Amino acid sequence: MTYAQDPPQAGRVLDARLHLLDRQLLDVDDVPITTIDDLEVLGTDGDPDPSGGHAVLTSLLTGPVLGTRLFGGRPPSSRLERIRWSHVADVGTAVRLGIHGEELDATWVERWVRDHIIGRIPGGRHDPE
Amino acid sequence: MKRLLGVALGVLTAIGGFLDIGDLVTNAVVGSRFGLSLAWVVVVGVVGICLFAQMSGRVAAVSGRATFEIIRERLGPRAAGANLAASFLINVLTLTAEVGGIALALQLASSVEPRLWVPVAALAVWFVLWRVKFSIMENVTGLVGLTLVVFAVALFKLGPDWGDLAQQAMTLAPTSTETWPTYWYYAIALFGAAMTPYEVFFFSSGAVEEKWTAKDVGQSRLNVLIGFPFGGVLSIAIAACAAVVFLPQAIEVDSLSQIVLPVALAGGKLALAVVIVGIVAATFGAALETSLSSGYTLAQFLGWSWGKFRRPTQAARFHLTMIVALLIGVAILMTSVDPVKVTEFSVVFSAIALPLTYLPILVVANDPEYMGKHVNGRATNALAMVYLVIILVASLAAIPLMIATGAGS
Amino acid sequence: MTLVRRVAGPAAAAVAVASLASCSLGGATGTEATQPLGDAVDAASSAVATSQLATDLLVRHRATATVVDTALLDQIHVLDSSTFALMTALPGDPAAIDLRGDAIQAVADAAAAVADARAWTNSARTSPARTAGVVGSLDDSADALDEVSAAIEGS
Repeated sequence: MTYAQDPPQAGRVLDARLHLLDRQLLDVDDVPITTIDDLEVLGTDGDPDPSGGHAVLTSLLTGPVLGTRLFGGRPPSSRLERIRWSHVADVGTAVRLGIHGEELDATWVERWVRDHIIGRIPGGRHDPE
Repeated sequence: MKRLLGVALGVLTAIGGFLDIGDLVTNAVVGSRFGLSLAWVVVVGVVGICLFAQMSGRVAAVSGRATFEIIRERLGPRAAGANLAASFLINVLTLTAEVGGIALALQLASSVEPRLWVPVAALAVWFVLWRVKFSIMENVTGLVGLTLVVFAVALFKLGPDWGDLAQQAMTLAPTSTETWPTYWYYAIALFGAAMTPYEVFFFSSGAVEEKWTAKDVGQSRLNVLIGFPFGGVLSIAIAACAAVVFLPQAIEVDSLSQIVLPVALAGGKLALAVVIVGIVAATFGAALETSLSSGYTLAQFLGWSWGKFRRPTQAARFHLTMIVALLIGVAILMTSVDPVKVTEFSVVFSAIALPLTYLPILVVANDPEYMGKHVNGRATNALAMVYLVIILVASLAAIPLMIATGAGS
Repeated sequence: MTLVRRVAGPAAAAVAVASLASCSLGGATGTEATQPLGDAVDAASSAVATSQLATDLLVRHRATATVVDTALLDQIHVLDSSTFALMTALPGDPAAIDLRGDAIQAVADAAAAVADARAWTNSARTSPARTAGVVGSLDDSADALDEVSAAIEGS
């Protein structure tokens, strides 16, 4: 499996557990996407990489991976719902993306519920009055 | 002038919004069995809800993040998940009680059996959630719920022996026919009814819905600090009406139809009509708040898009959650379970779950990362610690007392 | 002093155990045996008192028929569960069995009176005589229940 290496990002040091895990993820319009359920780190966790490199945060994870944090275990890599770290624009009390949530694969459940249930009920596409 | 109106509106809505089916039933039951000897619990409960409601409103206004987002972030997925499961269950139980309350109130107006009203009531609740703006929904139910002030008017018209009532309120002990365990059991029920946890989820999420910022904190504090105590006064008035009319005749209150009789006795048909309108508004408003709270808690835990300020399609899973919660409530009520019984259980289970809700709020309100200079002051924290102890004791004592007293029977 | 304290512990425990045991065995002696009967009759009295209040409000045009109808219906439920409690109680001695019989009769009469009151509430035209009859039989049931209640307490 290969990942395009994200260009190194300048700036602050983040404690992944403290500043990223379980934070709200918002898109560029401040629409909530998900809570960050887990992180995908390429390279070794904690131990020094034998090749001398650093561990690189590649993706934020969501979806069924939450179950593994509650009950333990590890999902197969193919089942992970990823949001690329390169989409992240800002980390504050919430984590902001620089793109629209609509474009992400990870928002498929929301889209499915909207298209198949909520969008079909009359009035669902209008502002409340 | 406009600002003053805004303040008045907020306060009035808070008064009208304070009472729900739990307060109505528990206060009337307690009044009929213990007179006013448990009125002090309402006072303790009102101070507590004021303290924590304004705290959660402040957290939401300053940080822009609602309660359950922060609970998840601070406690991690396991502890927050357990909290979510308990809160969600109690929320649905309370929602069931409120929808049942609407149906019972409509039965009073029509003689049509409540089971036929349940789907109608639930559909109406859903429609408001679906189509009506947050501020309108809040203000209308709050203002109409204000008609429950008729209980206070009725109390005056009943012309009670005020000295006797004061004497009851000062006697912190059960009446001769009751025992200490039942006294404490009902104390916990009253406490749970006054401090219902959904209020906090609703309050903090409502602040986000209405896009409060740090400068709205003052207004919210005013609403709470004036509105809720008046709501508490109405609670005590309900208990007092029951104490005046039912206690001397040894009538045990176990239905909504009994709760309105003192009002009819004092004010006739007009007052009766007003009180029924008030009960419908209060239970309807609370049904909206509990449905929303079930959506808020789940959506905030999982980071979904939520809020009534969005179109339903833009918060699809949030709306779906509320629909499912309402359907569960309807299904429970369709088994012909007595809504008054559901209410009695919901207030006690609320009391059990109180620490789950209130502890995280206290933690976050002291977190400078979220709150900046708006963290809790020392006095607030001291009072909050006292309440944490009370809440913990009530929570731990609730189930043993429930078993020992056969749920107060 | 220490001795007293040492003795007091087990003694208190023994008393507690004894009282628990008497609770769980139930129905053995005196007031314990008639407690469930008393509770059921009290609930029935409460139901009849509520019905009296409700019908009185209707007579004086202070309440609507729908509210009074609902109130009476709710009280019929209460009387129903009173009857059930009485019928399933297990009185220990012959005197308590007799009392139980009286209580069942009084509650049944009360249920009939409340049911009649509800029929009266829902009838379009009622004569003063009919109203007096309804109120009278509710009053009679209340008195009968009071008598049974007094007899149970006296036993």
